[in-house]
Amino acid sequence: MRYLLKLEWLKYRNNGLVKVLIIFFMVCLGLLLLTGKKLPELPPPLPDPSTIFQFPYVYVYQGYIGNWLAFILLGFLAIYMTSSEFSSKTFRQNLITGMSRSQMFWAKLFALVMICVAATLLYWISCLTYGLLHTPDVTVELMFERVQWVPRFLLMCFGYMSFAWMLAVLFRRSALSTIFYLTYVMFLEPILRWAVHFQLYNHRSMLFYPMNSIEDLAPNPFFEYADAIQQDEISFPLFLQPWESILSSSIYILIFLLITYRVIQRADL
Amino acid sequence: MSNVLSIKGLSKKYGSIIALDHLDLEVEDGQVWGILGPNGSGKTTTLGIILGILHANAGTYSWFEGQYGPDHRKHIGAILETPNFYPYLNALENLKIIQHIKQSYDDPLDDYLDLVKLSHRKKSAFRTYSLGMKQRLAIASTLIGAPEVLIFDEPTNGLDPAGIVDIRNTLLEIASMGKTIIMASHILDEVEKICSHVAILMQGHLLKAGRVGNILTENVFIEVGAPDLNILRKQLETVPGVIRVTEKSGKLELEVTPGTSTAKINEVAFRQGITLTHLQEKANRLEDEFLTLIAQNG
Repeated sequence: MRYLLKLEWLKYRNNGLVKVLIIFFMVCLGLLLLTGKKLPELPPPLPDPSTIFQFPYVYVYQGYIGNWLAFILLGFLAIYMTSSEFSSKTFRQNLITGMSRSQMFWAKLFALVMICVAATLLYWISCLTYGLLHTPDVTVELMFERVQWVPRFLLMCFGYMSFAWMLAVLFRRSALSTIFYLTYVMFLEPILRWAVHFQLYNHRSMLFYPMNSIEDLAPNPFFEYADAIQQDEISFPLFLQPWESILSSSIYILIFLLITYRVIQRADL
Repeated sequence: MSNVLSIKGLSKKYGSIIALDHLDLEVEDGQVWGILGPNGSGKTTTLGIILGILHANAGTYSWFEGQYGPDHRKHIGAILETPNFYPYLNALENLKIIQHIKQSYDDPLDDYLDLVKLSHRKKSAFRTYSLGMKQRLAIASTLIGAPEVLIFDEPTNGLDPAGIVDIRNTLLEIASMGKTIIMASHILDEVEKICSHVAILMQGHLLKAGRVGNILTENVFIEVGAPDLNILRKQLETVPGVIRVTEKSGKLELEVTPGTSTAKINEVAFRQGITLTHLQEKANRLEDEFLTLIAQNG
């Protein structure tokens, strides 16, 4: 594992785009929540904006910001790290030089997991920092009340990255993979869910689509109030239960990884 | 002499197109092989399969009689088609990645860069290199880990004449180190100068394989010129020992049996009152043999 991780480090340590994406992710995840200071008072049942910086809610709000950042920045990072290897033919050259196809798979997988772990640590540290600075009467119990969001954040980051990685291995081109990735997450899957599935079968099974499962690992922070504001025609809660999103995301991630592994093993490079 | 590469019945199809059809080839230690063939003859496909980046539809190959197992590619230095490096990294950083993959950390990288005349640009990003420099860096990279076999695919492709000479000299220098080399090319002159053995491919079929000397015909080629080539041609076609007469660039090229000398040709012409303006015996060329084979099988 160390051998493979060092290889990925040698490849990307001097890559300008990778550095920019990581720094942008760090800055945004660290600072975007501060825009909450400008929020006006929200009507009931929505919460007081000052609570978004406090334990335990800070995990939820930071998680939702991280959700968007992971989707856009980490997803693109996974696509770039893979498709650039195809476009510069270094993927095949590394194979020629002596790596096995399995090693190529594991090297990238370890690199993506390490990025997700680092992103999750940053998320946790930022939650603790905001919470400690803004929560009156902090207790250890309060600090860790929603700490289960930390592993969920990790799974969410890896969900986006593994999906983006699979697309990049399938399409091999950065532009095509990125367009498909964004289109699928933002339009195709919502259309499939709401305009097709929901119209044909008004049932909560429409929540179990791949990207929706991953999104629901760190859902919109107002989900706790969703039942109060949702439309009558929707007969079920709008979000998956945490255990459901964890389980379904894990299954989807496994499928993405199996497809990626199979393509790497079988493809002519 | 031990077997380095054994190819048996290798076949590859791209849809309905047969890129390679039951190729058999044996490469022994220390041999310098040239794989010759026109574009699309299956040279790169062959190399791609034996380097593990393409999957064959049928057939097998084995490297080093299987002694290195799945790690055999770490004992091979190869460039396939274009030089492939990380464009944003410099020469040294790229070579260090190859060192890491091969787990060979004691290579004299500076010496390798000296050999290919790139020391002065070792800190420049790969994307700033000219094609010749990229090709030279690729050759340097193949030396990492002191591989027993080197594979080059069209190493002088796209280079200017000076670049071709540079690369050819570097390859000759490497060949003199006693390494086994397999080189795909469609530049016959290049193969003839460097290789001890050739395999000639066409449309995926192996037409001929063996030592360069054995591949070449024993016949002799003589070039003659005269003010009227038609009269000369008529006379020479009747001479015993003359197998074929073809006109090339305002001269006649005669393929004659061994023992048919230029003196005899001159004598025949003199007797018929023809004054020769040109008479030269040509070295037996791989190019002639190759073109004949291609014409026969085309």
